[in-house]
Amino acid sequence: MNTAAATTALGKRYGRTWALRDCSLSFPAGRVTALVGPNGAGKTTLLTILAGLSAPTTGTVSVLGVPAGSPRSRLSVAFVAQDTPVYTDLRVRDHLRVARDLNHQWDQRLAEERLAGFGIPPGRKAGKLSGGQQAQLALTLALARRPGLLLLDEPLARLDPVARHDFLGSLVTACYEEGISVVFSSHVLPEMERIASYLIVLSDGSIQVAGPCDDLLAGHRMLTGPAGRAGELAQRLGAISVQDGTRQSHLLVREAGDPPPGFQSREVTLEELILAYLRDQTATALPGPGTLRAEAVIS
Amino acid sequence: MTAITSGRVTIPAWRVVRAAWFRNRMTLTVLLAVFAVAAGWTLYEAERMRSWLIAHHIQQCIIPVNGVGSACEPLLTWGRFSSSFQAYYVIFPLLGAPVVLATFGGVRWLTREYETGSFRYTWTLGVGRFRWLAGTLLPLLAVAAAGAVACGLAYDRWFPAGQWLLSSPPSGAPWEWNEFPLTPLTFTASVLAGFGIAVCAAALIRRTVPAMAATAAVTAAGAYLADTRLRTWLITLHPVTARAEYGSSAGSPSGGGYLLRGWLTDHAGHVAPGFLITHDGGMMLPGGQLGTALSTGPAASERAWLAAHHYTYWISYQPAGRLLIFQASWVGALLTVAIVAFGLAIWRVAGSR
Repeated sequence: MNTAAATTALGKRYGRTWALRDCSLSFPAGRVTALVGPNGAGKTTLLTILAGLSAPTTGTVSVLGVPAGSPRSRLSVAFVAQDTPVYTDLRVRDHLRVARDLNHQWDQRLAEERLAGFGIPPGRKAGKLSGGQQAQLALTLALARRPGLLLLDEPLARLDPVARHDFLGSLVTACYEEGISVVFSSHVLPEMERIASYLIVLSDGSIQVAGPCDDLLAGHRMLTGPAGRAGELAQRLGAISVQDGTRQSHLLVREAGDPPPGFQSREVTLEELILAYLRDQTATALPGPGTLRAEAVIS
Repeated sequence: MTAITSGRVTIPAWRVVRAAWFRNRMTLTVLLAVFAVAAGWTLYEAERMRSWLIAHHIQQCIIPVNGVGSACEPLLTWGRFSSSFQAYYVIFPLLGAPVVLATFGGVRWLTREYETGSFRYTWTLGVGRFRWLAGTLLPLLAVAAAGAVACGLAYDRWFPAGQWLLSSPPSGAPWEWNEFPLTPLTFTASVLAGFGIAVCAAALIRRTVPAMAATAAVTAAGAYLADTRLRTWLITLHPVTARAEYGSSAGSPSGGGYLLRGWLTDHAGHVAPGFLITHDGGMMLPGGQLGTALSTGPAASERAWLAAHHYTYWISYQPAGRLLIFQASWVGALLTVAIVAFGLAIWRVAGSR
């Protein structure tokens, strides 16, 4: 797999607390990687390290073949931080002007066309834009840099459903047209499913799940059957999540051949898979021989 | 792995500075306007005083004086000049400017990046943090230095006439606490040190209000120490001691020198106890015959009495030519503070990953 970024035994400590520990990951190039995890899992820490905003306590990080945070990595990495910060007192066109001066690669035409496409007035101050428009402005500033790797830290958090839809649509278009690698952290799972082709679940500073979405989905099944047998089956099949209702049981299990008698097997959605792993943080789905074709490992 | 192939990684400094200017042009314009108002007001007062002195035919007192010439006696005795103009309308705003401007114009330069989170955008652009901060601070320093020089030059224009309001008699050169820090050199150094402390406080504290409070406290304390410790120490270094004529203009240092103290010795060369002329013209008299003789006046009679009783009057002073050396030393100390403070801020911002 061609990689956009890689970490080896990455650790980051704030005071006595480890925000990340022993993370060895590869982020595929040219794809959208979804970074998921509960609050405090270390998603923002990982993204800020990739962006070069903070340095790891242990391990190494390379971005597009060079150390993260180095002058060369800044050339090709764009970062849209949480809450999509922009200069509220600066007009939209002035944002473009400042960004053009502070970057080597800058596509003014792309920036202007994108903003015009979203009806964002160039003469308006960024502070007067809606949350969705501010997010689009931040994404435009990032995309106009023609980055090789785009890092997005929960950019959907402040957006309404329409703005969220527009944002993701424009992001996917830009990625496929430009061949940009994207790492995208979010709590909005349905939207993740729409755009992500690679999934990383972080939990308590460690990697819990890593792999291509298609492989992960193919490697898991949802078993539905009569109530009362879930406990026994869960133990036997090593279920990741169990929902034992009064009439039916649902078990999310790794691919295990034919379903047990009385149970039906169906494909899982990415949202179901993520939720299952988030609920049981001891379960992992990490690449191993003959299982998932991902390149993540956990030490 | 997909690799970066572009060769050039450094963005020219002028582009960083231009972006910083553009990004902060409103703040810089306000800062320039404040300096312009301060310099304009000082010049306006200077011209008003000059016009007054010319109208009263004592324009020869506008130049730095050699003691108190007889032509300028009216300025000390009339009281009309001092009641027509208020020195502290000019002096206090200028003395307070480094503290106020640093607090309100320097702190937010960095804290707004931290508080709005925009540093996460700015510091991931094509320039590194060091170059970004250096480029951002350059327009600020240029505006602060230019504004401070303008104010200092305006004060230079004000001082020859305004000195008559500040000390009596004036020494003819800016030696005192309310004069020394306001020349173009010293005022610029004060302003730059103030901004250095502000930027440093912002980089270390990262929150606007606490950083403003820290800046105000440190710059005010620094200004106080720069006067009470540094200036007073400098101007007492290696004074010149000379015989002088008691109670006349010849008894003061000539040409803008600074009197540190005056004393009497008797026929045996012993210092007359209890007698002292202080740097601000104050006199301490002993009791007994000497004290009585020197409190009756006029000065000519007092001089005659001193001669008859074999007293000699001595002064220690700093020659006028040393003022520039002391000011340069003082400026050097403040610029060192500024450089250390800016360096600390840059180290904190560029090194905190």
